Amino acid sequence: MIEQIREKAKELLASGEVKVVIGYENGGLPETTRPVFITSPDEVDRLVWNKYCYANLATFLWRKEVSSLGKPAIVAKGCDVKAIVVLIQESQIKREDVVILGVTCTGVGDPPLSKCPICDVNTPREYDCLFGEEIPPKTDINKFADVDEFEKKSPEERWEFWEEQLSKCVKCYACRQVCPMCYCEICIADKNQPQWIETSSHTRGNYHWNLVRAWHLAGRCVDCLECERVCPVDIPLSLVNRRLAKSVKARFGYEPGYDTEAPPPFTDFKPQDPEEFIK
Amino acid sequence: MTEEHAAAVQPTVAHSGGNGLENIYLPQLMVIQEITQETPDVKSMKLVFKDEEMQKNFSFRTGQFGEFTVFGVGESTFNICSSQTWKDHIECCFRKVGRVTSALWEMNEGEIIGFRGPYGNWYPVEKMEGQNILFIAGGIALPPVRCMIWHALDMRDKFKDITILYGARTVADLVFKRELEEWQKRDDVTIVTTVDPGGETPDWKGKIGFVPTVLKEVSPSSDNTIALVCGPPIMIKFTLPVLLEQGFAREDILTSLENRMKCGLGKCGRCNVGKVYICKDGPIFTAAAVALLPEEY
Amino acid sequence: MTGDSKEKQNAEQVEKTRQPILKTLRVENLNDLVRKGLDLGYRVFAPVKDDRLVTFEQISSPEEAFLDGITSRTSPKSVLFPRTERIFSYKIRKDEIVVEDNADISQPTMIFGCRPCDAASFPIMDRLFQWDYQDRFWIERRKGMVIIAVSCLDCDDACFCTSVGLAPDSTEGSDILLTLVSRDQYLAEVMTEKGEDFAEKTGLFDEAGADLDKETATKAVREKLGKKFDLDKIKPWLDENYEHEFWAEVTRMCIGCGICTYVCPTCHCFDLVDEAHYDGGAKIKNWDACQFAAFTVHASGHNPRPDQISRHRQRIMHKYKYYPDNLGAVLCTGCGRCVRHCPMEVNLIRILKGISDMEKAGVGEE
Ligand SMILES: Cc1cc2nc3c(=O)[nH]c(=O)nc-3n(C[C@H](O)[C@H](O)[C@H](O)COP(=O)(O)OP(=O)(O)OC[C@H]3O[C@@H](n4cnc5c(N)ncnc54)[C@H](O)[C@@H]3O)c2cc1C
Ligand code: SF4
Ligand code: SF4
Ligand code: SF4
Ligand code: SF4
Ligand code: SF4
Ligand code: FES
Repeated sequence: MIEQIREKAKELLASGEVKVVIGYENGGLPETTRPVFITSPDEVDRLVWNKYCYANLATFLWRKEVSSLGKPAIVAKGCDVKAIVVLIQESQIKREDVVILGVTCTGVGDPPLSKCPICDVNTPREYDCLFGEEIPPKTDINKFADVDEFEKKSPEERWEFWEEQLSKCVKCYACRQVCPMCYCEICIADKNQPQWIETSSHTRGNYHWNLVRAWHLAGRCVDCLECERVCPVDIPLSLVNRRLAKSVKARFGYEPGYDTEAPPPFTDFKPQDPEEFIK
Repeated sequence: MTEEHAAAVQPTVAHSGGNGLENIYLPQLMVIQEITQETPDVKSMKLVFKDEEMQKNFSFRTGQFGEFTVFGVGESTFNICSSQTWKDHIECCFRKVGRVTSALWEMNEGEIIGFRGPYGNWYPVEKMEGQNILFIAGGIALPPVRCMIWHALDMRDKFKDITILYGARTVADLVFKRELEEWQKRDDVTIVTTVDPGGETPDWKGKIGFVPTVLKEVSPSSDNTIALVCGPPIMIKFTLPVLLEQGFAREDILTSLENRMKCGLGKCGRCNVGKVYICKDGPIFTAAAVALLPEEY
Repeated sequence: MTGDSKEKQNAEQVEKTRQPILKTLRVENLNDLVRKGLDLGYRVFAPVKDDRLVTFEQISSPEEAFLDGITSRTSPKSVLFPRTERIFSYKIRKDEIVVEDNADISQPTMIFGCRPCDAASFPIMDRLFQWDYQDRFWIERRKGMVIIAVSCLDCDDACFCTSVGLAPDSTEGSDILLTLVSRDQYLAEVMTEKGEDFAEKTGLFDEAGADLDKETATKAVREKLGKKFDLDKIKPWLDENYEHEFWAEVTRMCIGCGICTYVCPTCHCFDLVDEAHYDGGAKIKNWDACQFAAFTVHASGHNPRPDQISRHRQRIMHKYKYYPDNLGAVLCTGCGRCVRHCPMEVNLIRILKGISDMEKAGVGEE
């Protein structure tokens, strides 16, 4: 499969159709890969594909360090493609300005990350070329089993859980930096007039931060769980984001990242919307 | 602030923790004595220490800066824009651009702010004595030049010719207008003011043109002359070549860099550019020293 | 340079090293060592494991300490330099502001079970906090602190202490360094008066026999570590190559998440903010880092380090050139945390090896 990807990358670069191929190369530590930006057809052999291709490369589509290189092709797993779809929906990139090299995927990590057993996009939903055997989407999965389980706890237990978890946050904002959806030029966390979010990493400031970020991702978070992967203090951020995703799905029947044409619930209006929050 | 007012308020001396070293982040309290609105978004303030002893004992060198706290809001870096020759108060001048400066903008005479300092280096006054001085400033960057202008004027006989070239975008953006007029009237100072094309008013009597262009026109001699240049990076970028053309040596051109700062003490890392900490090793550098820095200012 | 109104305080040596005194500690007494520390009134900080996460936490019994890992996720610098710390507070009254310097930083503290690379970070950072102005938050805590480190008998691919002049059993920064030299015995190198004082108070240490050899104990891990790049080649290259295409090539994947700086034992950049409530507030010192775009942006919006490539270059320049230029030490102990925890595998070792290889090959010189 990697041979085909390299071949395609070479072709795209040689023809000038793209200026850069965003993919993975082997990392320096064992069982790692590193994002790589191939600009010359001679270098395509650096590209690799394996179960350590964790990073969601979609974030590089809007980072100026990479976008300045010119039109990209991007190696993307199903969950990464969901991020690209939302970026297209939100007008951050145009569909025709990116060549998606979709890869079918059975899971990353050893053992696989928590998102993988409940994945229904093992075959990406959007691509220009597909690499690997098509894998039919799983059907009998409950994506929110862990959220359901967590909701069974009493409010006090949940409070205590989050107090403990969020007290660990060091306010590095890595969860934001890695997130392909966090593309705001000036994040609310960096605004100081007014200071919406206290910059200190005491538990109160940490609540501000993590809850505000979760809200800003409601209906947009594509569940790639990069935030949870990178958090240096292992805060289970997916529980927050996915709790909101569950509500959005229940209320609007919407899951972000599946359809470039679908109107996102928070930028769309229907007369039959319940609007109970206004009452 | 009136004298009665000063007497009514108990001086509160910030004290240190008592186990050895003092807390270098602790500000001293200062009272806003007088506020002048200079432009639609620039104000200057006269400040005195709340503690009279402290005011008596305070000394600094022209060109140094301080960290000014609006309690509850934050801390900002300003040049002390008064001269070291003035003993009874200090002055600062700021443009309303962000959180702290907006809060400071809303404050009234008699209110209290915090001050840490003086920090950083100062103008090499000893080296400048006996020389001509050419002051060049753009926009809000007059304050770090103004302190030295007053210093030179207060010790007028120690310096030779004094020339001031000051430009702003529009007439409304010129700061310290009263002082500009005052200097205009003196016969021991040459002063040229200019505004960017389009920034003039019908009764504007100064020049029209960008600072570097006007500098070329004025063409001051570089013989025995030290130039002080402060302004936005873009102005400095285009002014420097003109000065070099006029025959100024890089060692004789001084500027004050305004990198972002927090501690002012060489600890927080924010102002680090190359091996230099602007807050400790600067803010005043010769053009020769600036040329050795990576372009991160 | 500072104003002459500000009298320069003499830098007091926090650290007094001399000939080590060799002692031994029986393995079965290790827990008692911690207990003694607690009994003597020390706040004891040790690596504590929670699921996969190991951090330095205050402990109240020796059983809480976890000594089996390689390095903890976050470093013990937080004991002296907390990620968020109130440095004074104030009350706002009608015509008055009362400033209270209320920081209580004088309790005796023990760091137990850190690795030699972490112990070594303290003297490196002493240089900065004692540089010119004296930062009492660091210095006074440091004076009341005893560091008991434990030599490494294992390492991973991210460790590179041996490449920056340290070793899995180096004594830099430790008051007492323990090295497991046999199944039931630690060799204890007592490095400082503070350490000696503490060792004496516990009564748990014995005189060492001549047969104890830490070299043999740590030989295997030393060999595994090897040398990953040539430190002598780094600074000469950095001196000449602020502008070089290498920077973009090796750092373009950096997303500026700052994890490398937050887990690093030697990164020390901070922010100062005011936090107010209705009648008062406090000045708070928070960790900050050169990897963040907002770190350097001017109020005008101009940013002297406008992209992640220049910001990442700053990190390496600061650690391997500017800090050595100014303070005579490399600002890195080779603990490998930044390499291990970087989500994009930017990999400092790779970058430094790239530099040392280029310099060796003479590339990049004039
Ligand atoms: C040595 C020195 C001397 C100086 N002297 C003077 C002087 O005499 N007079 C003067 O007026 N100024 C002077 N300055 C500049 C002055 O320090 C800054 O203008 C001031 O600190 C701004 O403070 P603030 O809190 O109002 O701005 P802030 O609220 O801190 O806003 C500006 C900063 O906040 C962040 N920020 C917040 N919101 C945004 C946003 N929307 N977009 C981008 N960034 C944002 C950025 O980091 C930005 O740099 C000097 C600076 C130095 C280093
Ligand atoms: S979530 Fe799906 S597409 Fe993404 S890594 Fe896991 S298995 Fe692959
Ligand atoms: S990545 Fe983790 S520690 Fe960092 S800000 Fe996000 S939640 Fe906090
Ligand atoms: S090097 Fe890695 S850890 Fe550091 S800021 Fe860049 S991506 Fe984050
Ligand atoms: S730079 Fe990396 S290896 Fe060096 S001390 Fe910091 S975290 Fe450890
Ligand atoms: S400048 Fe960067 S690398 Fe240096 S100490 Fe600060 S955060 Fe760390
Ligand atoms: S302002 Fe903190 S180091 Fe210069």
